[in-house]
Amino acid sequence: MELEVTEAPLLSVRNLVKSYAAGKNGYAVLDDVSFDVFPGETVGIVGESGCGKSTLARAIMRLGDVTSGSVELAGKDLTALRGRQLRRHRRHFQLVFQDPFGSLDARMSVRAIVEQPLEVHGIGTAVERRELATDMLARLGLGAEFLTRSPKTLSGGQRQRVAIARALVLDPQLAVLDEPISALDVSVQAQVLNLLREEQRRTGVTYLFIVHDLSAAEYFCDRILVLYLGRIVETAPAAELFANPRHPYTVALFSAAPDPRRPDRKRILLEGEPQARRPERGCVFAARCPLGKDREICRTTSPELAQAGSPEHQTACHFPGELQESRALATVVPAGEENAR
Amino acid sequence: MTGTTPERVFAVDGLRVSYGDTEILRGVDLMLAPGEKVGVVGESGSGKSTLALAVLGLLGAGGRITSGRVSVLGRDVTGLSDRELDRVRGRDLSLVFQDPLTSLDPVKTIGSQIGEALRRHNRGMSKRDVAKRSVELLSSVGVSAPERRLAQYPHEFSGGMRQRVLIAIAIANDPAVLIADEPTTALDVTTQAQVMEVLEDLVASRGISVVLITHDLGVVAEFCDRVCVMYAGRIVESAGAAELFDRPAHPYSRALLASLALPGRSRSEPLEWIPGAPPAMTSLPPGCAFAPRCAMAEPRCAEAIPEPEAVFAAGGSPRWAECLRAGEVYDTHNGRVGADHGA
Amino acid sequence: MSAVPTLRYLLGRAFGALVTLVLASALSFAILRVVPGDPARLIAGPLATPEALAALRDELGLNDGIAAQYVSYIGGFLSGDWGYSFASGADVSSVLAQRLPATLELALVAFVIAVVGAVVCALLATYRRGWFGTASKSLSLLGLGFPPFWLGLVLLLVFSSWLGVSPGPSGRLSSYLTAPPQITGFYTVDSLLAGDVVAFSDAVAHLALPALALAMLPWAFLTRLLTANLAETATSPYVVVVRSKGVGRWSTHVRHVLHNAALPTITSSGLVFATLITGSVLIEQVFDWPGVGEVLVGGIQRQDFAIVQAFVLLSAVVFIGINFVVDIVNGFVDPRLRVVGARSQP
Repeated sequence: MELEVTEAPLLSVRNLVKSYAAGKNGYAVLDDVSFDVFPGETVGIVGESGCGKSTLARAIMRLGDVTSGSVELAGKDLTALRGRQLRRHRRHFQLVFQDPFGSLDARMSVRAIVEQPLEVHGIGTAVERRELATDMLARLGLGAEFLTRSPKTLSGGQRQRVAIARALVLDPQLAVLDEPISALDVSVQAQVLNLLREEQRRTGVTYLFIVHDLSAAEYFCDRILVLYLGRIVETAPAAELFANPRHPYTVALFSAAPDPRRPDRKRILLEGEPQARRPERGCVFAARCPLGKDREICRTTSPELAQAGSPEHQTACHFPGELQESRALATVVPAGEENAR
Repeated sequence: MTGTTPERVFAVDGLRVSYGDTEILRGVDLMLAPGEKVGVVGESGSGKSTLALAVLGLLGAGGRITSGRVSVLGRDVTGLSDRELDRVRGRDLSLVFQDPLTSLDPVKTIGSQIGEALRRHNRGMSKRDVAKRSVELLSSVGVSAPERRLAQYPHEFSGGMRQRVLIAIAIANDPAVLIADEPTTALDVTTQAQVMEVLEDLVASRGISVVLITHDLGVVAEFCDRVCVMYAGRIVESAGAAELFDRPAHPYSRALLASLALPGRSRSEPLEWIPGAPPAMTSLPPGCAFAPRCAMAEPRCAEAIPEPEAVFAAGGSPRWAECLRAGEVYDTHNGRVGADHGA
Repeated sequence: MSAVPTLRYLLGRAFGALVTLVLASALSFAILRVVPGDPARLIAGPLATPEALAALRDELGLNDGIAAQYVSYIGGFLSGDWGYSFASGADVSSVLAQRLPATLELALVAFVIAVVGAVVCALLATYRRGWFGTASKSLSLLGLGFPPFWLGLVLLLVFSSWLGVSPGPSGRLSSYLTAPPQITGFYTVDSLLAGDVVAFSDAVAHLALPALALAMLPWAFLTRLLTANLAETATSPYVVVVRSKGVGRWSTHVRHVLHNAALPTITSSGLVFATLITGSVLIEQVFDWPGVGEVLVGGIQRQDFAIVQAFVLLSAVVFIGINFVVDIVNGFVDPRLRVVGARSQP
């Protein structure tokens, strides 16, 4: 995945494999996942349940061991770190959880929650820590009146902002955002996204954004990886990916997402559901693919990621773009009317 | 269904619901023509799920309808006893509930759970007919090998398949009205598309009227003819789906739409968001409930709940919004949301 | 999947029960052997010479390794030789065979009273809020606090001494009646089988008070457990869905809510039954009930090893047997348990 940049990647994931059990019954949740994230970038990881996106987040966060492969952060292999070394290094990569209710200790005040990571990593004096936490919270719209409150008394959006403050107060190089907005109401989601982006402008933090909401991914991310059953099936800059998806799964996924602006676009309906068992050979998507279902090569040979379109656009498909092109030719039937047969 | 089709198959008039001393629904009006699909959108705490339970008479302990009426096929059902309502539920009015994982009894077979709906309203239906009809229902919602699957239990079904089963149960007796409460929220995008397709297909072919309760504006835009926007226990705006997304007339609707990260929206521009949080239902202001968060609020907004203001689209049907400045909101809207930032 | 538990499920459970049984018996055997006390001294008496004691120990096998002793004991146990009472010289198996039916009959009746009472009270208490729920809640709280033997004494005082409607603490049958011919060993059943109505009603009258006293604690426990489970299950989304089909509130409550709420209660009921069988000692004392309680207490006091050992082993068999039955019942009522390693799909 070579980019036309001289800069070294901040995060470099190489041949990451995570499998459960072994032998005949074993199955891989992540299968040979490799990608780079450059400093200051926001990379989105998009996919449905069972695609392995949360496993990937956990693997990068070193919250679980991987079967093989490496995760390098600023040149340091995280998978090789152990014990105290790992704990000390954690200030450079932080996680924001999906659930703003379960991830905060209700017995602590908002300020104490944000001060705690500074304390753990021995940053500054008590006075400095207090100042850092207070400033961080203020930037996220939580002023003095919130500092002494318990997370119990906060709304979902406010709690999520506390969780973000706790992660970003350490000034990490990388923040992994695991579905940070999916539990929130629409009007609050927008605020959280705005604040995350402001922080990025200020500090240059790099985001890895795990998300299932496609429009949020398009709006928020520079680059997107599409995951299906543990494999990256497509990756491209966000705008290009949405304008010109090449992998049949990406095409179908985009077509299925409801869009209040284009209620009459035609959906591609896939058979079956995403939480399938991985096939033993061939393309992971073949069984549900409108193209590959009956094609020999898709059933037997697993396609590798290859350039499709611009140099930054890659897809793992034997017939990239075919579905998208055939769709463009087809007459667009409004979604509501196609059923009145 | 009955021979005469009333003009309104389903109507809610001034419905008020309280749990204890807290009023959750504060005068809701809703009307459905035959075959019409109306969306009720709102954020958490707006009272939209309470509306679903209230019209079915299933508020549960502590909840009660304090005033207003619900009529199904022209018949007022609010005055009916629980036993009389049992003859309406599942026959004239039925429900597709939100979470497919918890909406089926885990210890009963799928067949018995579908059969229960059939037998309840068709006394004396033979075992064979129940089985035959259940198979038809399952295949109509796209469950393959229905004969075999009738003997299975919910845990042997995926989320999407369970939601199809719930739809099969809801349409078992060809109801006039279907209440769908967040029917696809728990599902993946591609699964959601499959389930919505099934639902669209069925209500169209059977002429069922649908109230779709959801927080997902995209789903509403695709599925519904009309949209009601709910805030703090009241419907604050009602309009045709396309019109509402084109030109909202209530500041809340407009703010909600503006906060969506719509596809194709410019990355450089921050999203709009609504300051503050939805009000606690225990301490509502006397006037417009949205006023404290509203950028356009004036002193008079806090005085009393505003009368609905009618706005007229050129060449379109009249619509209304519960805002003193609805006309202004409508007139000043800068066209289709996000359209000016298109790729 | 079929509507009944699979053979594999049953075999799996049976194997588990067997392993538990072997472990439990070995453990209880080992514990009793290390308890101080010398059976040989007990049999031979305080005046026996050291030589005689040594010979007796040898004869009893007490000098063998504990493993060898265990194997020979289990071998005997399986072939019906449960040893003899060191104190009285009586055959342990015949003592227990004579006493066990009385204990079982009492426990079984108390169990039925407790379970039926708990189901009825919990159902009604959760169906309608009102005085009944409050009453059931208070009574079950009291029931947890009353010692059963004390309750037995109170019942005797009220129904026998004051009201005179119940026989006194006179065992299983009035002394002027003869026991019915033994078939099951349960007087109520045997007297009916023999067509002896007088003996039947007398046996029932004798059974009523001790069974009630014994049932109180498990009734209270099960009522509270089931009421809590019912109340929680009643808030499940599927209950709303069932109601939305037009199914009435009571049918929903019984067919769906009770079925689901009963699942965690079944396991507890099994344990309750097991404790009833092994724990009715005090009640038997109060009502002069000729069950195993009396010999067991005596056995413990006199360090009469064989009686205690046999009883402990039997208790283990009962507990494990009941657990096995509970597993099977659970397999019937909860489809999710039928397949070993079954995983609910996401």
